[in-house]
Amino acid sequence: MIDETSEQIRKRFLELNVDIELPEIERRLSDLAERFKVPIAEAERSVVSYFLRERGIKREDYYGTPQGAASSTRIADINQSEQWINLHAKVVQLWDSTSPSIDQVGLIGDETGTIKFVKWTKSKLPALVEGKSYSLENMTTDEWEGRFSVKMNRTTRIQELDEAVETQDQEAQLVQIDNINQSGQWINLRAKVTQLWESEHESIDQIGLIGDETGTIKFVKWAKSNLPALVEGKSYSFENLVTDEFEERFSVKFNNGSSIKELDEDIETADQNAQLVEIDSITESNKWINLHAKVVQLWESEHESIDQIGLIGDETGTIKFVKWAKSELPALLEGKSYSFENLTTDEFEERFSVKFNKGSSIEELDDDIEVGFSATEFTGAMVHIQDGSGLIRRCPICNRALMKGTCMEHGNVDGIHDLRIKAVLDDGTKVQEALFNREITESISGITLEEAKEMAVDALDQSVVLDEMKKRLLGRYYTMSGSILDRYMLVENVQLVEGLPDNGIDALLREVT
Amino acid sequence: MASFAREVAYRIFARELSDTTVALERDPDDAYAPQYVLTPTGAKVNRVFVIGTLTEKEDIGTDTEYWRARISDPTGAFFMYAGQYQPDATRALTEASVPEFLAVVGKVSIYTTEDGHVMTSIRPETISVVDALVRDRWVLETSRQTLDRIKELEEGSCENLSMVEENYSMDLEQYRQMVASALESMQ
Repeated sequence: MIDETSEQIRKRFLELNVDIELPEIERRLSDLAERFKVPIAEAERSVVSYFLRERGIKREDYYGTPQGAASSTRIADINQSEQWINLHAKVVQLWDSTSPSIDQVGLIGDETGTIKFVKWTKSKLPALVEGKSYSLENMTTDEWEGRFSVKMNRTTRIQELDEAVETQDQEAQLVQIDNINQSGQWINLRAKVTQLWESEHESIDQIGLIGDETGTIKFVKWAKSNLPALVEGKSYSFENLVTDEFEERFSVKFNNGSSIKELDEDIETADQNAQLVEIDSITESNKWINLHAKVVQLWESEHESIDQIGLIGDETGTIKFVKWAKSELPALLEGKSYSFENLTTDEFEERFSVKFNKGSSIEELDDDIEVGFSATEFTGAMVHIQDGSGLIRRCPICNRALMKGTCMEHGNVDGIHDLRIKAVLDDGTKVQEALFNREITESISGITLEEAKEMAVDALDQSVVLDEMKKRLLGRYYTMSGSILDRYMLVENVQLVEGLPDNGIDALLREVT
Repeated sequence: MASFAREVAYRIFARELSDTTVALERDPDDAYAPQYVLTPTGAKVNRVFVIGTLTEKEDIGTDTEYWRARISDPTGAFFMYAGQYQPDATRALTEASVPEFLAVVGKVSIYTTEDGHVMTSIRPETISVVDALVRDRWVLETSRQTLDRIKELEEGSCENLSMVEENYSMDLEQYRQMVASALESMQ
C-alpha cells in the first residue's frame, strides 16, 4: 500500500516537473501510517501537502481549483462565525456600551430577524442612529455560546439608505409574561412591580421584577430613557418594551419609546403561594419558595445594598442566598437553622440562588439541620481552563482574588500570590467544573508557586503561567474527587489517568464482532 | 425554560463527523439559539473533543493569521479553521508541527460548498499536544460511546431516533465496522 501510494505521488509530481526521491516519500508515509496510525488516504494528503509547500507548488496545480467566498446575506441566514458579510439593516435599538473599546452596541434588523452588533471604538466609523437604515459592508460574524452577532471593524463601510429596511414585529402586542420566549420583540405588558433591586450600574435607573397572573420577569430601565420611577407593589400598563435574553433567561428593557401608566387596579401576580421545597429541587428562576435550611457560610458582602450573602444548606445540598439591605430582615447567624418563607429563586449561569425580599420571613428552628455535602468522583478529559486560573494575587485582608490588581472590597492592595485552576472536565456525556487549590494545582501541573513567580518575573507577564498550565493539562484525562459546592467540585484529590484499562480493546472488539 | 449549561463535548470519529449532513434547524426567531448537528448515530452535537494526528496545516489568512488544519484519527480526518477569535487555538496551531498528536475541543459547523457538498468542520477553542497513550484512550472512549449510541438507536431508546430515520440510511453496520477497524488499528 505504501509502495503504491508513494509511486503515485512521485508520478504526479513528475508531471509537474518536480523530481522527489521515492525513499523520502516512503519514509514520510510510513511514519504517518505506522507510528501515527493515520489512514493511508490521510497520510497521502499530508505528505503531498508537505512537498507542495517545500517545492513552492500551488495546491490547485496538483488537485484542482479552490472555492470562493460569499458576501451579501440576510440576518436569519447567519449561522457561522468569522464570515465576512454585508447586510442591509435598520438600527432597532442602541444599548449603553459597557466598555470603552466598544463605541456602539445594540440590535439591527432586517425582514428576516434581528442580530446584535458591536462597533469597535478603534474602527472610527460614523455613529449609527436608532431607527435609521444602512448598508453595512464588510462586517464579520461572531458567535458566543451559540448566539451570533456582527462586528464592525476598520474595514467596514457604512452608508445610510434612503429607503427604510422593513423589520419584523414593529407593532408591540399586549402579551402575558409567560408567553415571552423570544428576544428582540416589542411588547406591551400589564404588570405589577414585585421587587426593586439595587442598580449596580449608573446607566441603569431601575432594575427588578415585574409580574402578572402568569409569572414574573426581570426588567431593566435605563437612566437615559427618562421614564418616571416605578414603585414596588404598584401596577402599571407598560408599552413598547423590548424583550431580551441572556443565557436563556428573558427580561424586558425600557427604552426611549416606552411608556408607563399607573393602573388603579391591582394586578394579581402568580406564584405567591410559596411551597416548601428541598434545595436540590430548585431548577427554575423567579419562583416563590419556602425552605428549611442551615446557614453554612456567610460571605463578605460586596455591595452596600446587600445586607448578607452566603450559603444555606439542607439535607439535599447547598445554595447561595442574597439578603438585600432594604428588606430589613433580622440577621442570620452561621451554623443556625431556620425556616425561611417567601424567598424567590434566581439563576445565573446555571447556578441557582435564593433572594430575600420585603415579603420574606425568617424564623429560627430548634432542630439542627444536617447539611448534605456529598463527596463525588468524576473522570473525564480536561476540556477548558477558565480565566482567573494560574498565578493569581489575593487581597491580604479578605483573601479575594484581585481583578487587575484591585480588590472589589478593599481597592488597591499589595496582593499575595497564589496558584489555582478553575477547570472543566468532560466525559462525553456530562461536564464538571472544578476548583483546584494551590496544593492540587502544584501537584497536577508540576509548577510550584515559587517557580510560577519566577516564570512571571522572567516573562514580565504572569499569564505565562496559565499558558504553560494549559499546555500541560488540556486534553488529558483525570480522575478527581471532592465535594460539590454550587456548580464547582472543590477538588481534594486528582490523578492523571494513564494507560488503558486492562483488556479494554479486546473486550470492546468482542462486542463489535 | 431550560437553564444555560455548557455544551458537552461529544466523542465522534472523523468518519462519522464527515458523514454528518444535518444541521438542526435553529429557532428562526432566536438569533442566540445554539447550532446543533445531528450525526448518523443520533448524537445531537454542538461541541466535540477529538484527538488525532495533525497531518496538514496552512495559514490561509490575508491580513491576520487564519489557520486551516487537518487532524486524522484511525477512521478519517477532521477539518478545522482557527483565526483571531480563537487566540489560544491559533497560537497552538502556529507552534504545532506535522505530524503530532493534538487534542482539540471545538464547535462543529456545517456548510454546503458551491458544488453542493455538505462539509463539516471544527472551530477549535483549545488545542494541546498530547502523547500516543492519551490518543489511545480517546480512541477507546470514542469507540465505547459510538457503540452506545448505535445500541440506543437499535433499541429505540435514542431520543433523536425519528430525526435519524428521517435523515440517514440507518445503515448502522458500517459504523460498527468503523469502530472495529479503529480498535484493530490499536492492537
